[in-house]
Amino acid sequence: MEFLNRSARRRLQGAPFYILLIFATVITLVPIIWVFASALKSNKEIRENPLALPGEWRFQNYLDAWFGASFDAYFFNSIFITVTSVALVLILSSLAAYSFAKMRFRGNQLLFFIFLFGMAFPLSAKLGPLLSLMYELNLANSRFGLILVYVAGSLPFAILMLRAFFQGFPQELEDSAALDGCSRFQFYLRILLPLSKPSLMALGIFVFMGTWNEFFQALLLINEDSKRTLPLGLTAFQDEYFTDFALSFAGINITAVPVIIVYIMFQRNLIEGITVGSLK
Amino acid sequence: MNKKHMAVKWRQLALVVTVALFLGAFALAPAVAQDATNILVWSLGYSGDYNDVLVERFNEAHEDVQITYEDVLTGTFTENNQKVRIALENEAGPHVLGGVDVGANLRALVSSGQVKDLTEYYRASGLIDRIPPLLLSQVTVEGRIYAIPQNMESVGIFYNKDVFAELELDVPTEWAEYIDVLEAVKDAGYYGYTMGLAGGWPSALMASMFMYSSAGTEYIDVLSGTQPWTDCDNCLDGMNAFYGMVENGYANPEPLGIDYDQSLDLFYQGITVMVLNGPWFIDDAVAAEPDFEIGFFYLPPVNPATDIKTLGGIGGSIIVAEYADVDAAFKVVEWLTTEEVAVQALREAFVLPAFSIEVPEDIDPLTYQIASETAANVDKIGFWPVTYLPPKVFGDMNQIVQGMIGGMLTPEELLSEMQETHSTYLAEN
Amino acid sequence: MAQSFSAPRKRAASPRFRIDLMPYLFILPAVVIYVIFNLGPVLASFFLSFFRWDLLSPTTEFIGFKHYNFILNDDRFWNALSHNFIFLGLAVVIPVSMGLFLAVFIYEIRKGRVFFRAALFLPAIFSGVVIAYVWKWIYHPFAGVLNPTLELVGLGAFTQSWLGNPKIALYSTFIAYTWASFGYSMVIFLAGLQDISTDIFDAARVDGANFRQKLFYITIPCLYDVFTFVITLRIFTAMGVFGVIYILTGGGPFYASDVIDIYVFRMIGNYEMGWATAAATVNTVVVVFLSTGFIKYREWRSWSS
Repeated sequence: MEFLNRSARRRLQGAPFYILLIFATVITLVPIIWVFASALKSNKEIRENPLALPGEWRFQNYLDAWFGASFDAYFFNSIFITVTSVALVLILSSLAAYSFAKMRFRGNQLLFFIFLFGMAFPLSAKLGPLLSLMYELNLANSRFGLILVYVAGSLPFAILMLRAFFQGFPQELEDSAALDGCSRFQFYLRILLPLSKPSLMALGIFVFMGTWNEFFQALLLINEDSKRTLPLGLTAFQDEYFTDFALSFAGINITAVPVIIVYIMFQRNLIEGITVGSLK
Repeated sequence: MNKKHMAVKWRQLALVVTVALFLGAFALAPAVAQDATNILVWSLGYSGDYNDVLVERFNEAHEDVQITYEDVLTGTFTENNQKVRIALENEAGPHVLGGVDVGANLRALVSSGQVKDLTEYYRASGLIDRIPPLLLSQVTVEGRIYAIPQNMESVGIFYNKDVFAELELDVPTEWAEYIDVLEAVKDAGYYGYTMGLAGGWPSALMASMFMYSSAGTEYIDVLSGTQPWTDCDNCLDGMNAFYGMVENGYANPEPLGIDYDQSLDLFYQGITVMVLNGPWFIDDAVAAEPDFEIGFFYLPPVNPATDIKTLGGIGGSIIVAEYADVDAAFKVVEWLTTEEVAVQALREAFVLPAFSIEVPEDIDPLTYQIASETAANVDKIGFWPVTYLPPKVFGDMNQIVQGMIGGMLTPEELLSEMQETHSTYLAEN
Repeated sequence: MAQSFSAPRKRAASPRFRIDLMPYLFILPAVVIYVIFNLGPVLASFFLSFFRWDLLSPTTEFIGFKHYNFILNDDRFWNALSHNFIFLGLAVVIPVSMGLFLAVFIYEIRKGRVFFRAALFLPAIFSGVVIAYVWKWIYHPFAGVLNPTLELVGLGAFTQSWLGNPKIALYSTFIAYTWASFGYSMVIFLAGLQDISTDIFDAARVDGANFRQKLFYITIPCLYDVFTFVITLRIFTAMGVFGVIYILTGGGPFYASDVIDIYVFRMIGNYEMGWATAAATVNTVVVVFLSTGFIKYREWRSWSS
């Protein structure tokens, strides 16, 4: 009896929190659900009754956006640019972070500070000269150029995060590896990287999100329709088809769904990436 | 560490360096050189799909010159301008560029030596006789011709014929009649004037039409600061007329809350009855499949003394980049300005040519009406000042016009603000 | 003394000592890409702000502070910067406190922690473009969902031209920004909360502390460093807000929602590189000053108390 009472009391204590959380969750998710529902409606339904659920489910809207408005090309550009960027960021930042965290050399602090400095300024601070530079190097309007810009943009945070993580590795591990005749590069490749898998995963997901969603620099650097990424394609699409309400919603969803899928699959890694990076 | 270990280490190090160098080389690899007779075109002046059709036709008909087409200019007016100029300067752009709003840009392009002087080609090809002098003057800088006018943008009012019939309204030809129509439409529960001013471009453009139809070239003098705005009563009349669309309840509500494309939807739904627009609108209107018939008339001039019939001007011109093989490039230009291609463009892409052609009668009736009326009035065009305005003022112009519609500026303050903005830019440069 | 002095020298003279290149080679690829495509343009932007340079003309001419003189006398620059500050002021209060409260609520419950954390964080994963378009539709005066919803729940008096009303436009964009950013604060606070020793909360419960007392006397003081981080993050995002406003209002109507990055983008669009780089540099100085100043202040306060 006593036990029941206590648990009932505890349940009652938690109730206001649940109510508030459910309320917040509904408000947060309703716009998303609404956008998904609207993408299945006809233009007429959206206009006449924006709040209602779709009468019949028109998946045709997605096909129209995918094939009719070159969302297939945007999608593959986004995949290519994002995956390559993430791979490069992971390789370059783990190499550099290992060096910063575990090796002694002149200028360690200075070089690390130079990287940190990259996180301190707003994006607009580099846009003008960057635009000019990319044309000089023949990298404007190129997917590879965009990848380099994204990698350069992600490196400071990636190095900061991995350096903090690598610093946590006991020195004895490296010493004993060296005794076994393991060079520093072998140590990096065979021991450090496998042991850092969770961190690399978290960082990778974090960089994936940032790169997939990036808009400002793509807007400035990409001209050709066939080289657009999804966020950029969405703006062009809106210019052209804005009066087609249903297609607009379908386009928004095509851009959003991949991140939702990645998020559902790697939710813990992503949040870990954000919090580990921030709390250290 | 012994020697063996060192050797292993150096091998791995070499691997790292190789990877790094490989990445670096990959990054800096120059673009593959273009074939001399391959002409890179960024826009042919038509909408997406029709460009592809044209390129295919050209490449089939020509062996010595082939077009490579890149669909680049799909951004806003300002973004496109920016891309073109940067690309031309860096020689990373097209050889031929069609359909661009050269306007004030042309002067800048000419003075920085980025476009070819086409005068001789123009004369030799006989094109010069087919282009109306008024249009020709727009692409001439100090007596030399640097661009070929390609298409016309003839702007007027598209209206819902069903509502006009229902209310027994006639097409207005004078400003007072136009106001009567707006009143009648309003009394019947519709909105007469479609207005969506959010976003980058429409505000300045829409306001300019009214200013120009009232003040003519005087408006340009005011804009460029050579005449004080206080001396231009016609300018004020034009701006008041534009503001009147909102003030008197003719325009749809929330003009600042929706952009132009969103406002078009109101027209297709039959909520608004008239929309000020250009021939590019036909394509969109056909695709929207409204359940009423659409008619067209020119916006009656606010001030009849200016004798301006049509509002608009060159929609796009063709330029050839300084670094292009001009002989090969001009073949593309010449082909684009043949009657055959122009008629096809009119028929398939609803684009009015900027040179004389015989308007075929078997085309879409709305297109036929605009094309023939424009051809008849080609000497009474009121050029909208977009082609005169330096792009640097354009973005600010939009914001200022929004200020008036939002009730933050009176029409007088708007004129003063516009002139001040412009003269600040001029003084700083 | 003599011994400690001579020891390193002896080592330096020994054949085993050489400059160890490995650390540099590990860093080299990252440094090259970072310097060329990130740091270089930032420094170039700073230097070029003292030159006449419009991206198109090959020659540059030193003109000193002329661009700064223009920028600092331009009402529209101050208008844009003030909007960034309004954004910042709101951003350090609203998304941060929302994040804090939601984190505390999630921490207090037993079941469904993972679900609520995941669901409430969801908007934060989207691109600014997606967020802006979602809200553009929500605010749509005719097909939008906000005005009809307000009428449905009896708040018809609040229906509004959300993006067209110059008095409201900036705040409408802020709502979209908040929707997308409170989740960040929330997960960081939650991680911070989970780092606090549960003994403290147990002790508080034994002492009969209520929710409010726990919040103000335990949670918030314990999250001191987390607050510093979360607010610093808001400084960066609020001073660099672009995508959401660019798509929702383009800075309008009549500059009512103009911010620095839109101002800079408009300048670049007008080929006014001098003004654009000067404005960007001023903004950078403001952001660096604000963020480092804030962090130093927090460090000083935590150290002095």
